Amino acid sequence: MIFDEIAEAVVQGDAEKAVMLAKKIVEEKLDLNEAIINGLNKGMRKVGELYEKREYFLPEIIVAADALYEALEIFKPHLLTDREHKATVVCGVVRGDIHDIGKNIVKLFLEASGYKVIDLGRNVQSELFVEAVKEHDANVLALSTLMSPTLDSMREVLDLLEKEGLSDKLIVIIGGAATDEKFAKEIGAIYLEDANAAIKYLNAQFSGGIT
Amino acid sequence: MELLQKNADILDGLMAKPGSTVPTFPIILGYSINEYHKHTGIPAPQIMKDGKKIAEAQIYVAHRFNIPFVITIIDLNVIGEAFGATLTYLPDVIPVHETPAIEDLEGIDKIEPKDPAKDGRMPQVIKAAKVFGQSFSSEGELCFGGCEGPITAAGSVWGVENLMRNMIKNPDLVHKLLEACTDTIIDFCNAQIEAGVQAIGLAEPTASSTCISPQFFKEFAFPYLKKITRKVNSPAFLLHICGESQNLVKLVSKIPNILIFSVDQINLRVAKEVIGKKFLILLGNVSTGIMRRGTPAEVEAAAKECLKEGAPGGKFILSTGCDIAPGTPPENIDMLLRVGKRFGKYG
Repeated sequence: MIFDEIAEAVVQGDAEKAVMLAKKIVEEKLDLNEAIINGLNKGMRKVGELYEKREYFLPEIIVAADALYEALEIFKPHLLTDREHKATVVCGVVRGDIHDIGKNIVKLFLEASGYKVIDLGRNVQSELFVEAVKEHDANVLALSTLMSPTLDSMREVLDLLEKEGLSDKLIVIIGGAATDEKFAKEIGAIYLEDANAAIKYLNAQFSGGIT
Repeated sequence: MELLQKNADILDGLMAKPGSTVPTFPIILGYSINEYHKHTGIPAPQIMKDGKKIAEAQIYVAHRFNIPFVITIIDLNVIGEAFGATLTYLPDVIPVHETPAIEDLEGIDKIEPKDPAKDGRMPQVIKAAKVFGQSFSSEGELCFGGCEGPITAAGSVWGVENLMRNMIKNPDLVHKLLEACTDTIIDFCNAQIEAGVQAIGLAEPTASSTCISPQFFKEFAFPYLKKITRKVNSPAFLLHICGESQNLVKLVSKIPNILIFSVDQINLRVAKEVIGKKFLILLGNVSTGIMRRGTPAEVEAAAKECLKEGAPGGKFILSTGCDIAPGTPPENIDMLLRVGKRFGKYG
């Protein structure tokens, strides 16, 4: 099955093969949404599982992601309408911190799993998170930091959300080396250890579509 | 071992001599810059760009907490910056990496080592080594020079994502970059030794198993670490790898002249079993998160757990898993030191 083959090409990080298969899928006029969900996403989920088991590490994830993005580029002109998204996620690295590899991996996993992701980048001012949540009517805010000093920036974002009355309907997830469950509880957020945990958690929240 | 002979207390503790105690000190790099900035009002960028002030910051914190250890190296972008990476200098803490020195494959292909006497902040770090040599080492303190390890340096030069992608796609180019970084590190560390430090610490977090596989460690980190420990004129080395390192212990124990392995996410007891009779000291591994946000009681519990797992038989320094964060409460640092003294007694 060609969808399994393209999934495997992602797992192997074989961009050339993924592109070749993507072109074939387009030529044969197969359902592209199916190809994304049961091909590319499935491959990336497998990559996540392999990282969790420490069979894969960052180099393997990055190369798999390259293959996924290159195949997506082939599909893009042929996707008639936007795919239906499970939810909208605003993400970024909080003010004072520029370590963004973890955030980029989470973003990739979210996109590959059918979420619309608004990426604000790194060293993001707290107010910008709040504005983006409002502007995009986001369901989830994902904050990241590697460093301990910038945990205070995370707290600041949560305080601002509270002030603006946005806390109730918004799920705030946090991650990164400096964060943990205890801190998440303190500020009223959900701590998730890595990209795979984020997908699992959010899929459980949005399995029935957005309410 | 000659490194440790000046300080009999530390040596006895490492040999688990009856009546001695487990040597104890947290890893203090960036914390010293933030504390010295708060103490003197000097902006952090000015401290970072002046070797004399770096040394003063280290000595200030060492004296305040009575810690027998200072080191010249504060941040892990010294080599990257020397190659042309840009950093953002923050007002009160250490600078952070902004853009890589080189983005394209051709640039890596043409790369040449840098000169410690003139490139980036290397001359300032050497100046810090000189200050330590003149004013500090006589008292029996451990006085280290240092540098980021080759993989960490290469990540700063090329960008971590590029580096990792090309470990798979263009391993030859990665080796080329690692050669250039390694040769720079060797010259840089030798210059620090000549300036007066006793030994060298290498920080290699990007080679941890949180980032790359043990197989890639063996392929891309191991040969260059070996080259560094062979060519740098230091009697011993400390290797710091924060993140996961359980599956690296065996390999690290095979790198000649590594005396201290500073570890973070690891089971100390299992690591000691792997090390066996070899004289490799483990240093670790109270979480820096607990140090920063925990109570003294939580620090006490975590430190006691480390003692339980790491101290039996000696070859252990009670410390933190990584550089303690700026803003860590002083009472937590005092508590760590107190636990070592009070509960780390060898019978």
